[in-house]
Amino acid sequence: MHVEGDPEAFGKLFERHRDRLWAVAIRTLGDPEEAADALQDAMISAFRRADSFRGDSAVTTWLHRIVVNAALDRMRRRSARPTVSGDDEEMLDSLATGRSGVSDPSGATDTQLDVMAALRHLVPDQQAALVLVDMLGYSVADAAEVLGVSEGTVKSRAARGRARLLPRLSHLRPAGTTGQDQRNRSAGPHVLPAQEGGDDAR
Amino acid sequence: MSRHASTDTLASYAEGLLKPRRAAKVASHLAGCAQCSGQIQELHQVSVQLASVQFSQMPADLSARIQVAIASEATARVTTESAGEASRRDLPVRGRPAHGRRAGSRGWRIPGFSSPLVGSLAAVGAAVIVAGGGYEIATNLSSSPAGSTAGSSAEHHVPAASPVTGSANAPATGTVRYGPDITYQHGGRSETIHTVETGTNFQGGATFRAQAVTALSRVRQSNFAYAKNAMTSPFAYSGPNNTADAAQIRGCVSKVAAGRDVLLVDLARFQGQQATIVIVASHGSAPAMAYAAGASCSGSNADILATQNLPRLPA
Repeated sequence: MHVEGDPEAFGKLFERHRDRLWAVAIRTLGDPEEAADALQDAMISAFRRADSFRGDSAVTTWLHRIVVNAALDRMRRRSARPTVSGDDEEMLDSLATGRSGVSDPSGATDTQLDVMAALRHLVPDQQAALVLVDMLGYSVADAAEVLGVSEGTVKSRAARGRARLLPRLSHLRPAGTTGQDQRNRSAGPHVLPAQEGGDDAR
Repeated sequence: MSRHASTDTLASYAEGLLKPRRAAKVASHLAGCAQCSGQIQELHQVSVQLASVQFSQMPADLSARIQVAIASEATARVTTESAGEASRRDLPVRGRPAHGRRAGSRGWRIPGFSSPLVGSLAAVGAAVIVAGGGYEIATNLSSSPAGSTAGSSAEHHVPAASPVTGSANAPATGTVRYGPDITYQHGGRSETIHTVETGTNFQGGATFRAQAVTALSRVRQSNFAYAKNAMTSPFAYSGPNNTADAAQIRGCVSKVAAGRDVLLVDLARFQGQQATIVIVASHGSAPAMAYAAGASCSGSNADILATQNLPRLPA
């Protein structure tokens, strides 16, 4: 697929992957506004560097990687600087948008917000591994491709991340009955094409 | 193994990361330790909890916004490249032979805007003009089904001007006109901005956002400084909005901007009614914003008809 310098071809590529890329961005950042900005940053960056990938089979991985990196960059920046307060009207705007994004009928419950808050305590590498493997159900092999590390590293980051989350999440479970998995309602199965199998973590 | 395993060790065990001897020890400990077996179960529950978190779907207008950003990026790229480099791009470039497969088409277009997936953008009904670098690119919406629904598509026709010479001082051709210069209050100082008339009939919702980005992009990519100097008399202004005098626009812009940088004042229309479109820069963590202010907008009453957050704007 030739997308270099061709916004039409690139636009189509984005449309094909946008739901999965959004799923990655929103899970990494939690906030719809930030996820939107990260996704946009990532797509501009990908468009600029469209000549840096080769072959259609790698495009999915490549786009995922750019989105993950854009989201992680944003996370690191967010933790590095305090929020600047803007004009009141604008703050209200962004709050309203943020809230409606998180608590709309299909959005997160308080428990889910607690899970996201707990995730914030992980180092970004562990969080990224858990977003891909546990939240989105990608195989360890796919996650390793996206993150550009070995499968062992993905497993290790995921394992450490789960260990750190455990004490923060155990109080949220009433009787171990949490977690009916309904996450695939819009984007289809969260599996990278042509790379099923591998050492899945679960 | 009599000692309990750490949570970290149990997580690594569950993930198959331990060496065989270590794993065997943990396994035998687990067989007789309800506490550690429980932890293994809880670790599994962590994964289940993570998987069960639900999120809002992608905002409806984000896709269009990103498509606009990609198209803007493509046009920005053309202007910064030499003609030789630009010829590699799959972009129609005025002043160069059209690509073979487009030679017979009825007009120039930006490929990104022609995709059916960005049909909502077609309703933008706007031309994108890149004049500063010597190239001109415009959407030709006459063949677009949505083009006819855009209230002012006729005004966005780009005249078949003589080929741009390529001079960096080439004036903007086509549809961006320049209104009066106005001053507005910014952080206790007075700033001057040149108003424009892009001729756009802005619409509501995501379309407003896309139109605002397009308008700003057009004005930025026209050669503003040259255009300003070329105006024989900046205040001899006779556009369709000449009932709104400069003083009222000034008050309106100060009111709407509320201390933020003003990037664009477009004396245009909103859903057919006279309106002043004000785009302000991002401020702190707040995004850039576009406002459509109605005819009665003044220093005391902003008369806002529509507001949209804007994507990060290309520099």
